[in-house]
Amino acid sequence: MEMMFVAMIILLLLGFPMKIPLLVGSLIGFFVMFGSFEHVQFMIQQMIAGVKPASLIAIPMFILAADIMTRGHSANRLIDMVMAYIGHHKGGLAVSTATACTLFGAVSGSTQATVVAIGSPLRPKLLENGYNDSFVLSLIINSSGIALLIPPSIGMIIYGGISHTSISDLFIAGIIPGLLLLLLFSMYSVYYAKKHNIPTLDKASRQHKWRMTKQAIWPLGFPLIIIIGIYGGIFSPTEAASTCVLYALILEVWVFKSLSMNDIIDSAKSSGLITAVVFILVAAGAAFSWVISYAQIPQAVMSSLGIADASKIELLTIISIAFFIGCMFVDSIVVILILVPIFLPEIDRLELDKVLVGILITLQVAIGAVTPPFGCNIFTAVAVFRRPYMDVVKGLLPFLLLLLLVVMLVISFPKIALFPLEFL
Amino acid sequence: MNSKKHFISQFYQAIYYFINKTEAFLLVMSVLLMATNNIANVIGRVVFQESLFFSEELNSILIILITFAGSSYASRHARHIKMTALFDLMPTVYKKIMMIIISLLTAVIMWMMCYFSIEYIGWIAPKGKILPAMQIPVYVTYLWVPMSLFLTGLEYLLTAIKNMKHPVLYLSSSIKGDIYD
Repeated sequence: MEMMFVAMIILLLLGFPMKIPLLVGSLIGFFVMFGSFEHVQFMIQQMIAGVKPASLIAIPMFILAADIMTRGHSANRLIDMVMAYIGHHKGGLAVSTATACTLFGAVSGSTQATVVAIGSPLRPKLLENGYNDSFVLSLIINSSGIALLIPPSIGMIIYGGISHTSISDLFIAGIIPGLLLLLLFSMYSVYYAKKHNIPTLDKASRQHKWRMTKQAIWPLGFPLIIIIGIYGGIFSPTEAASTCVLYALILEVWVFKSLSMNDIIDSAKSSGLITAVVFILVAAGAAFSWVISYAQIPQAVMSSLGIADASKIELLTIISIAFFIGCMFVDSIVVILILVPIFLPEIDRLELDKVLVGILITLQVAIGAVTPPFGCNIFTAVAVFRRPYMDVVKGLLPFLLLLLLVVMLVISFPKIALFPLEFL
Repeated sequence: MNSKKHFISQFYQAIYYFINKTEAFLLVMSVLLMATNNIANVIGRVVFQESLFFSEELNSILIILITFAGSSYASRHARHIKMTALFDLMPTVYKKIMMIIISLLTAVIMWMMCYFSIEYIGWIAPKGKILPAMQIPVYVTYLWVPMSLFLTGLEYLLTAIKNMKHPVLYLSSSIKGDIYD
């Protein structure tokens, strides 16, 4: 079975499309287990079954809602409102950026969409005000990473699907750690602005604030639909996602009149494409997960690593490290698809709270995505802002330390994530 | 001879165009239909306390279509997720060689999966299982799987051929150059 993992790692590193390492790993595992491909149709059965769960339908719906909004006016309206309230404080522009990223993350659920929609218009303003570009780039990609924790989160939906954990619970548990990150990033931004003596913006008049709030009221409906809808037990995540699509259409087509029918068709095509790219991995991941659990590989991996009888804290730490390393190199969805089935039997044996594990994994995904050398959000910033790699990497360390601080806090005090669930 | 070659090239381009347009159409229609289905279902359940009886089945048919037809479309547009950090460091000549190897091996895996999925459909079809609400045989909803896997494999083979025949790097049979540069 070592051959299976070695082949997968080699194929991944050589730059094969990521579905191939998963499929080749599954085929090798299948062949080793049964000695032939005689009943390989069960693998296809698992692949098809892997994409069919009703809960996963939330993913294409959230992607579509986010795509419609990114093409429309929602992002700018959110930025204007946040700036009107916070812009005039010390570090206000940076705090506004972090807050707008978090808000748009809560609306779109996508890190890349947030980098483009919020980062692109705000970066020139930050630079104009005297912020250093490395700080700005790091602030944008890290604050956009908060989108992974604040619902809706695609990674959480996939984790929930594989580990049979309530996606609603995961969504709710992600909110406080996400807001905690926003608070810490904001505090660092204020410290940075004071240290470098960055000038503040003019204070907005009361009328201006009111006008900007009125403009942003519509986009602010998205987090309300998701959080109140799910928290109040009105919607399942899939229903909340579908309602977001309807709301996005009403907003951008009828209220703001920013999108035409052709834009909607483009949006559907691009959402279908992104969904396919994610779901073909989910399908291949389902086959992989079936093969490795059938062959009892997770147990073998655990005992060969000498951690078969780890304690709860030890296992949480090991999971965090494994995801941290994995996400440094490979797309987070692939890491979730490969590692969750490996750790799942041990998580079940120790009766660890799967919601807590999900939040820790999501935090690691956020950290891995901004950790050199291969964190994918670093490359998003390189591609979107056309800046050299080193410029993006230079300002990352303080943000990484803050992210690690939140991980340690959540491991030590799980209530940070779990206490809102007590009121459900 | 030349006119024969020209005819083949035009025929190939027409087919290529047709497949690309068909897959794009299927993607758009599936996503819009899925959105309509789910929006109608949520309105039905929350406002009228009644869900659409076929909603879940329609979703599963559409998601299979989106996943597999979309995957073939994505390969044609070089959109599949890859870890390209090492690939990007290579000189162009090695990139081309790697691209040919990657494309050929991927084509082989895709066609293997295509063959296995035909076997799967051949295994499930005689069982006569029918979707309870929509009354469609289950295997019919899976027919797009082998077709898309075949087309995906074909696309990778064409990518390999394009890279062998032309001096520039092709990321798919129609997309030139290095999108990461």
